[in-house]
Amino acid sequence: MSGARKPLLIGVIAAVVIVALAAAALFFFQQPQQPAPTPGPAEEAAAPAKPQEIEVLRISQRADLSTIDVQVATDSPTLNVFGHVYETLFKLRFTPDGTPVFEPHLVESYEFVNETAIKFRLRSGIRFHDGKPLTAEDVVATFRRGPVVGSIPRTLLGPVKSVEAIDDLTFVIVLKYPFAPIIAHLAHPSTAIIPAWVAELFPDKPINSTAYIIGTGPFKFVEFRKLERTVLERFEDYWGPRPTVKRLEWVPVEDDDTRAAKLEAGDVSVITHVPPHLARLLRDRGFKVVQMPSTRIIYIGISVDRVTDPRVRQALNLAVDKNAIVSRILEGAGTVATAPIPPAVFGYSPQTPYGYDPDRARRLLEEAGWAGRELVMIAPSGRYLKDREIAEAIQMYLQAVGLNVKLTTMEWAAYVAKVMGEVRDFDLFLLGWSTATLDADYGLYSLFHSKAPFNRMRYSNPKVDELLEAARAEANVEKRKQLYGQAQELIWQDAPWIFLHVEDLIVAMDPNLENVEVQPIERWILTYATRR
Amino acid sequence: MLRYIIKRFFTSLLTFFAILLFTFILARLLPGDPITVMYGEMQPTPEVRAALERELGLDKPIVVQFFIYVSRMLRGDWGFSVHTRVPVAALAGDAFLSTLVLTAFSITLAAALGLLLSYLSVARYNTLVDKLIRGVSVGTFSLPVFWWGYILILVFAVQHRWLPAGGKGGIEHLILPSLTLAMVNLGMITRVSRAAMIEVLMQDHVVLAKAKGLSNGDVMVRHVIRNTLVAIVTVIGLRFGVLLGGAVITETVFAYPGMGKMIVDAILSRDYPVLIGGMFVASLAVMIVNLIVDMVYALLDPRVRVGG
Repeated sequence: MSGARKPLLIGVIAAVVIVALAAAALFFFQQPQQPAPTPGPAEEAAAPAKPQEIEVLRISQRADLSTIDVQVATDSPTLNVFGHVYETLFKLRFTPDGTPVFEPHLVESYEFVNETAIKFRLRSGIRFHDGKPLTAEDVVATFRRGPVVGSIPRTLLGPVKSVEAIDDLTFVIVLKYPFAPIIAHLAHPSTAIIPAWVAELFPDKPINSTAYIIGTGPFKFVEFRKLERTVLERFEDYWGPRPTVKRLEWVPVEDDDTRAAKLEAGDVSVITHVPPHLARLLRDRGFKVVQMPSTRIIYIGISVDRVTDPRVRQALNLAVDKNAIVSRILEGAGTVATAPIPPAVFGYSPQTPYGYDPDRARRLLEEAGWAGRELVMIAPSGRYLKDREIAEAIQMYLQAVGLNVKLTTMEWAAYVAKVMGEVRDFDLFLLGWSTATLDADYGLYSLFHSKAPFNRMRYSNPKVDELLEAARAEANVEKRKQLYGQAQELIWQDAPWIFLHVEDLIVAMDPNLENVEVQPIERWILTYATRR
Repeated sequence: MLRYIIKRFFTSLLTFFAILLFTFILARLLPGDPITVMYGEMQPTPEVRAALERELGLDKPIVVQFFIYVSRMLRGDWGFSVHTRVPVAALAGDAFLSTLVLTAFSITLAAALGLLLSYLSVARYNTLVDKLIRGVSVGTFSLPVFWWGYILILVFAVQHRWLPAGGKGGIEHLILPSLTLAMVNLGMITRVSRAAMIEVLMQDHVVLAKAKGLSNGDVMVRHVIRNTLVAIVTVIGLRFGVLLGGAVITETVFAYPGMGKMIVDAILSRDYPVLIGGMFVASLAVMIVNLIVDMVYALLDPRVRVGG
């Protein structure tokens, strides 16, 4: 009898022995690193050298290219690759104190002809990667195609009535109505200029080959190998300052731990989308870690057509401890939202926080006759930082004030279909929104105007509509700010969201790497990176 | 033999058709479609959606779509990825080659080590060596594959920088992932071939061979190993087939662009042409492996040849 049991027992013992051996091996392997307190992987950190050009710079983002068409792309990993290939009319730069400035880039000068017409002049001598010169016709064709094929260009160029070429380098943009943030929109990577002949070849659908990835940017597109790498090479005829990097390789690595390991192993020099716990670890090991509030706000949308009583929506805000979510679930990699848009955005106006007050929440719910009611909540899994965990925490908080919350989490594709679909059988949904133009219009109009396409709450407040319409037409900066302030106050009180938090952006890199620019709109610019 | 192969060929054709149909229907049953994924938080207007559906052929009834797909496939046109517009044939071809190389590497490693270990184990039956080998082999396949992956990365890539932490490139990129996959298969191959050898050792002809005065080595090689080959080939073939379908976890941990990751990504992004193309290639590979295994049986065991 005991003979039959023996193999099992031996197996268990052996497994324990293996684990112990592996642990011991690890411990021993780790030894050589401890006595040498060199800061991270710097081979010769002591020798200070001149900044050097970089032959090959490898960077790992979490995701691969999601499309090969810059005008269709909606995700940050894809737009970051294309940000090195294509260029926009204006360029976003940050002053040392962090204020965003939009500088003319492909255009040399511009003037307002009247309130709704702007005349632009392109820099001369700019060439596309195929050798053809950049002309006003390319701008016209780009802006004609963009809104047809892509959602972001459609939103960004929505206020544009027409674009007309005057001569080779001059063009006029005519607006449907005075629209203050237009310059900011012309700095967004989704309005980057593509060659007219490509735009005309694919007027209403995405391009069908990487051969058509042609821009005016500092890097030429060389190769795309799905899940393996995307390669860009310095464009030798680039009009601007000569890039210091010869070859850029984007190596997608989905797994967070492997991405960090690749940085530690020296396989890649920059990694993005670093989760908070790994950021701490990499910092301890001497890597350069850039962490800053992004422009992405995470919220729980409330179906206003189903949850009509504003007291209930306020109660939902009071019932959730956002500080705990940020500190415990996000491990501090975020900031509690103080307005419907992040602080980095123009027009931001901080509101009185709802605070965590479950007792008041319970009272409000009782007043409204909502105690014990059932709410249907949906959330994506794997789209935003810790999205599922956040949704589960909120479910728990709402249960604690006596609501009965049915939560369903789904993978992204199924979730988008549901949340954007026509069947509205849910009360709460988790989504994120990045105000990538850094202007309140993009973050408020697109989401809170009653006729905006992405207002999934079905929120409608005529006063808010009025303010948002007035603000986008207002040329005076101070007055615009005021209008946005008023709109935010109303939105905050109406509470069509449970206002959650602004995600942090974390990028880690080789400590010897310099001049990598990280912008809060989830953009990383490697063109002028150098090595010490 | 020829009749056998022809028969196999026709049943395979039927199986393929079933797999295509099944994948096609399952993919369409998933909520969401490639267009919703493409646009994410910013869904397109009905006009753009309609234009894209027309272009992708998603506007036609599903039965029509299926027959269009099959007829194109028969003409060698596998379509292109909805999102990246790369031809599916190229995509699946690349991914399959990556997977094939990785699989071949790791199975060879696992088989060689497994056979060696099981031989040692049987030769030293019930000694400390045997017990240790049995224990180790249980251990290697009991530990999850990602554990092996991370440990190997930590030791060989992060601590010592001898090998890259992942990605695709030269032969050095293959070592860690194939070692990881080999670990899991090693244990299984060792256990199965050890059990098979012991079973054969108990049989009369082996006892007779020993009684004839053959040396232990001769008995093992001429009588035992030859007779256990069928079992060993079976387990190796099975594992080979499974791995050819992709090893999602290993591929993810090592950022290795193989079949598993391609198919899973295609499911998540609702990239129907890639999904179906990937499934097709994976099932084709499994069938070919099974066919080869069957033919090897026939070579190893005369009884199969007669029965075929």
